[in-house]
Amino acid sequence: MILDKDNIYSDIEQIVSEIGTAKSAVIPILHAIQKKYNYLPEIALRRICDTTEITPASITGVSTFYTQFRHTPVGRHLIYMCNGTACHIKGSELVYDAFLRELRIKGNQDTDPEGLFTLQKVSCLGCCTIAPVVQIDDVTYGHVKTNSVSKILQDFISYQGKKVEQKTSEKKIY
Amino acid sequence: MINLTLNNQQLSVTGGSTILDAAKNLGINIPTLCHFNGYKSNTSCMICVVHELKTDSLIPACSMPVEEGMQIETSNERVWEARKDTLDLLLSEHVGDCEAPCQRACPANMNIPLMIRQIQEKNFEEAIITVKKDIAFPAVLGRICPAPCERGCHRKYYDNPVSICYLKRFAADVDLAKESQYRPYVKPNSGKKVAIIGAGPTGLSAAYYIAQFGHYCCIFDRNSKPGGLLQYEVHDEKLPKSILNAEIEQILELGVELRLKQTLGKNLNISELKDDYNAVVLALGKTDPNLFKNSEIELSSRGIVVNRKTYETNVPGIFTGGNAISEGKMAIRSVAHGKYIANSVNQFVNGRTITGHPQRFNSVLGKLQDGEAEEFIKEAEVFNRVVPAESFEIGYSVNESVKESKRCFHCDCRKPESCKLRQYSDEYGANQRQFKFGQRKRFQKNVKHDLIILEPGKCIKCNLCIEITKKAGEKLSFTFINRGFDVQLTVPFNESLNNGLQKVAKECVEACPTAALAWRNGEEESDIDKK
Amino acid sequence: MNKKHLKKKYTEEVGEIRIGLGSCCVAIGSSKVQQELENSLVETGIQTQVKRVGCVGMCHRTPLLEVRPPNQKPILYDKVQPEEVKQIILKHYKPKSFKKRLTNVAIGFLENILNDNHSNGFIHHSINTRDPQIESFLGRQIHIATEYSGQIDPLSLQEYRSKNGFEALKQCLKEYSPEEIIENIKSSGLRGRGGAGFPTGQKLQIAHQAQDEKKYIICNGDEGDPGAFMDRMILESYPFRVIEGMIIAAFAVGAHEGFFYIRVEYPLAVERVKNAIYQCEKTGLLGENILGSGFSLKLKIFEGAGAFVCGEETALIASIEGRRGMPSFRPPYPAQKGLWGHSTLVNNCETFAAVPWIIRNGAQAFSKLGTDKSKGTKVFSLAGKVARGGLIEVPMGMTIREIVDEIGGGIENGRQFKAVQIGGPSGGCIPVELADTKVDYEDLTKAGAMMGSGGLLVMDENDCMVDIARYFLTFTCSQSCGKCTYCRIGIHHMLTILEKICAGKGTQSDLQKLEIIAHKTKQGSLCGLGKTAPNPILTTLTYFRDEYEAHLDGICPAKRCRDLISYAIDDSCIGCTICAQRCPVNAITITPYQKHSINQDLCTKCGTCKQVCPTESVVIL
Ligand SMILES: Cc1cc2nc3c(=O)[nH]c(=O)nc-3n(C[C@H](O)[C@H](O)[C@H](O)COP(=O)(O)O)c2cc1C
Ligand code: SF4
Ligand code: SF4
Ligand code: SF4
Ligand code: FES
Repeated sequence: MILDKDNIYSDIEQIVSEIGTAKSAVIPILHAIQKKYNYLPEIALRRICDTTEITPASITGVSTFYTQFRHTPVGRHLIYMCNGTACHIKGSELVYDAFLRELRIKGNQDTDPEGLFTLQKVSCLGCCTIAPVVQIDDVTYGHVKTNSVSKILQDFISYQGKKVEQKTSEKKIY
Repeated sequence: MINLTLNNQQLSVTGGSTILDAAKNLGINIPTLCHFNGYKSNTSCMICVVHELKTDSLIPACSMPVEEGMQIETSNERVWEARKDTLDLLLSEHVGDCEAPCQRACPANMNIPLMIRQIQEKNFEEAIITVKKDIAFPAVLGRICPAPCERGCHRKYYDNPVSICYLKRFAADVDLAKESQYRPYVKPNSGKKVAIIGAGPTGLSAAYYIAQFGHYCCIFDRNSKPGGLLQYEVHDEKLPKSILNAEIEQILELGVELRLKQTLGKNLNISELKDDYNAVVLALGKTDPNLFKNSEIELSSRGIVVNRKTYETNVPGIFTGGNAISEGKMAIRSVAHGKYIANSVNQFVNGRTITGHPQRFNSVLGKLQDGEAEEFIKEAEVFNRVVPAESFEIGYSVNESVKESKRCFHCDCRKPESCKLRQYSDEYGANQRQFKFGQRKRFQKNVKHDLIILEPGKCIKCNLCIEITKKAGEKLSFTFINRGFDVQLTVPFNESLNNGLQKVAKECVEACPTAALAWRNGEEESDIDKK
Repeated sequence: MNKKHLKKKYTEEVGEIRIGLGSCCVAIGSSKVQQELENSLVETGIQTQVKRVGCVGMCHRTPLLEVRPPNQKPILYDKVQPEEVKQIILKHYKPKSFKKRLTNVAIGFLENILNDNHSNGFIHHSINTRDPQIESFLGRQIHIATEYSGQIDPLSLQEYRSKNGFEALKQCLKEYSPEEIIENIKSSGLRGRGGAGFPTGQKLQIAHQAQDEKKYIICNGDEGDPGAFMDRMILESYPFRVIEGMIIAAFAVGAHEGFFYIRVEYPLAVERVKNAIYQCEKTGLLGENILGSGFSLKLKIFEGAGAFVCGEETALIASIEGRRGMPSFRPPYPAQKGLWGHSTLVNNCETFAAVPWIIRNGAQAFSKLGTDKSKGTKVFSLAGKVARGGLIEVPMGMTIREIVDEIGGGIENGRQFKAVQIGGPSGGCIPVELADTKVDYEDLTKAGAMMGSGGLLVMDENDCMVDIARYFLTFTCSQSCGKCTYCRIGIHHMLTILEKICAGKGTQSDLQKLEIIAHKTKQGSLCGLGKTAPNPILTTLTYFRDEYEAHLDGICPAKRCRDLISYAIDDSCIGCTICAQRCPVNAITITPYQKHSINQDLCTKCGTCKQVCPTESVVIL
């Protein structure tokens, strides 16, 4: 994605017009920006401060408080490794390490060298009964073992190939 | 009106007021850090806890509204302990030195960074005052001192320690070379008399400070010249006698009397001296214990028994120090003892309790970690140690010393007096090492402001500066980033401090309970008041 | 004939296929199954009804498909794969021409859990409701917050109404005064299900009495406990019930505006609640002049952004106001002074979900259940080393042992029951010796744990209690807002010590300091997060001190802590080479037909060899 200033400005205008300019709009606005770019580009944040009542202090403080918000770009796909209690006692730590190895993610990085996958621990995916659980984008895998990691990645990639409009059919009616 | 009991006193206060308000009405002091008049309390520091007896709970006085029938104790054992715990915890994440490491390493506890800043500003008159406040023989020591201060100097983590010793010598030499040298203020004569036995570094140093307190001093020495070891055992090449004698002269000039060829046990008798003088100081250097065999002075195998804090012997009014009580050759140690003895003597002759040298609480940064010297260098020049061009004997020129002074990191805190954290740490006997686990936080300083310095490692997250800047409508102001243990105070978008603080810098510095926000030049609130 | 009856008749003729669409189900692929189902029906021209139902609690068997052909016994299929869907429907709606290759058979949906013979996907047999296992699973559960579990379409307003939905609301608006409602809730003994257990009626009263021209109501659906998903399930499966409870509560306190605060990690819950609010607005159940009563209420959704502490009510309010989610000192309580300075009623979604039932069935019916001080039921997410994990709702006063053994089917793989962790990061570990502790606010607190939001994690002998404490402290340390001294610094220090102990480097003095800091942090923290964060440490220190001591000596009795164990291959090795091939760091040399061995210098203790060894020859030392 090319982040061009004018594009960002018009995106921001759109977002602000939908959500509002009040101070309390900061979290919904940040969600919207992140949905758009997968992270929070600083230029977008500064633009928000220029066009709303939200202050630089507020947007900086809030966007670094909540773990959902990212300040750096991520890989094409996000791998959420569940680190909930059930997953922990079923060995999620080892699975996490296996992903690091499989994706050749080094040091304190979180994204593979190809920029395809970003690995992130999350508190709980709420699927405790099928622990350990990994979610890649919107696909969830349960009962993951260290030695099934490469199979899962392959499966995910092939699923991406097949994926044509296979979305939940729950209709939005609002 | 709401009725409650506070430290066993009944009182009625208007509803909605806090326990802190109620205590203030009674003139009861409760410590606070995150509370500041005119702002809503942040209730984060927890130093203000008081004990509510009915619920047997500790509650933050700054925020808890009074309730009917409350029974509050503001200072009992439980409260005291909780406040100390709070301080211990706050200190465990506190990164910074109250006193600079060089100053702590100096046996005389000289304020080295202050002296260096004065030299840097070419304010040599002030520099010698700073030096002589703690060291009576700077020109002498500037030539012979092994400089323990330099071993503590943080600059060594970057390249080499600052040449503290040369700088101090420079300050002293400049003064000695002057027509009218620095002469400290001497209080009007108190009528008290002090006898000092031994005109070595300990005795002379003691005399220098005792005289300043306004007491008459008489030094007795068995030799024909004053100076003790400095006179007789240090080679002339290292320490020219002219320098030694000049500094001794400066001491005698304060009205100190010197009586030579007076030997204890021969023509000098302790009990007589004790009768004639209000206090006696034994500064005899390495002493033969047999000398005191038949006196009331208590001895042990190591020599005279002495209180190492107050330098009192077992006999009231008799003090001792220097080589008489400790082995080793460091003259600076003796000079330091002399100063501390003077303090005790002064307290004694004035009939006050002898407290010894007041040891204030000191936050200690410890060894610098990787990359931290880079933070310090922000306030210093990068070049290596200046070597005196002329020779060792001559020392630094004016330009050289000014240049060398620019290497100083200014490790000392800029608010050592007004910092509430330090004040309370003194009061509650806090211990920074109580909860010391793992690696400490990284030292950082932000000096991108003309007048102000921000040291996030000293921030206790009281939120005051954020509220103040917000209220004042600063465009950028401050914010906390991250959460938990990683919370840190910054200027949004990593902008400079100058941009963040355009309107209310003074208010923030004054409100900040520690030196996280301070004047760069170390001006304290008390200094500002004086102006 | 009215619409309802028409529909009923149609269903009788063609039957229906129910598909579970809770998050767990969707996670495991039920939406793919649903897609496939709809495609197949179109393809084959088969006439039947497809019905989505909410979470059924049987999360360990998902995706679930229940086929209810006309005039036949319903059949339940578990772990359904998309490619199997066509076969399944053809089996029931056409002559059986395909090889049956599916799993379990049952009568009814969730109410019918069946054989314990999981993992063998080829055996199926019909099940008798009097099967002791079903008896025990069903017999002890009582569905109040999860009423009609697995039977109703979460988003069918019509269906909710057909099962007494919004009856309670009607009753309240027409027959009761706010005071009467509050009295009713008070006498039911309902206490907050968000963790602390504050009497709900009393809270309603405080908010009701607050003199404020503007009042708010907030449903707390932040559910940050990393081992719990009750709130998610309730919001996903019963959004109308929660809304109904909220309207009643709002009416009782006089609030006209409100929020659902939902974790952003629960997109499906957000979607469903949004949809449900929309339907309610369309039908006059929300908005101006609700059901002609003159009472108005507007509800909005606020999505959290990843902060456990925002479950704490004052932090939650800060978050809605657009601030960092830092709690503030109470008093004032939100019911006195909350959102934007106005009186605000904050309750957990399970609390709200219980309200309609209480109104309909009477306070007495509710207070009859449970113990002296803890009334009604509690929803738990049962997980961990239990044979049948899932979502359950049990009456208060049931013992932990009963839950684990009877509902959960005991420990999986026949291992030893060691402890349960209850209450998540705020709770504690209760050892098997105390398994007869009742589910009751006071009893759990007395045992050092806490009701919390309802996470119930079962642990066996392979779980290290020091590691569990470390795990929870890692969590709370990352979630502390960093405001107050004790929580910010105390938790960090405790974690540092625990890490040291788990690495075998701890000392007696570390252990002492750990305990000291734990007590002080409990006493000195500003909010519940810090006040309860030491609980996992304090309970494990109380009940499992020997495990801590063992770690000081460099031994992890459960063989869990990586720095204290090593992998080895014993004599039963047949030399198959699989482990050597799979070892990611080549710590095992390939020696076909010979006993393999592990190079300890290279081994990273990833455990892969142990998982792949066909003869279980890899052991932990
Ligand atoms: C750290 C912390 C996390 C909390 N998380 C939740 C939560 O996820 N959901 C919840 O309903 N209450 C949570 N609470 C409790 C709320 O502060 C509040 O008591 C509750 O929402 C009130 O509702 P109730 O009376 O219905 O329980 C939490 C409290 C603390 C201290
Ligand atoms: S801020 Fe206070 S405690 Fe910290 S170094 Fe300065 S004087 Fe010492
Ligand atoms: S750098 Fe300056 S203040 Fe710091 S230790 Fe050295 S001389 Fe002292
Ligand atoms: S820097 Fe700000 S938040 Fe930190 S202690 Fe000082 S005034 Fe408080
Ligand atoms: S909590 Fe009361 S002064 Fe900080």
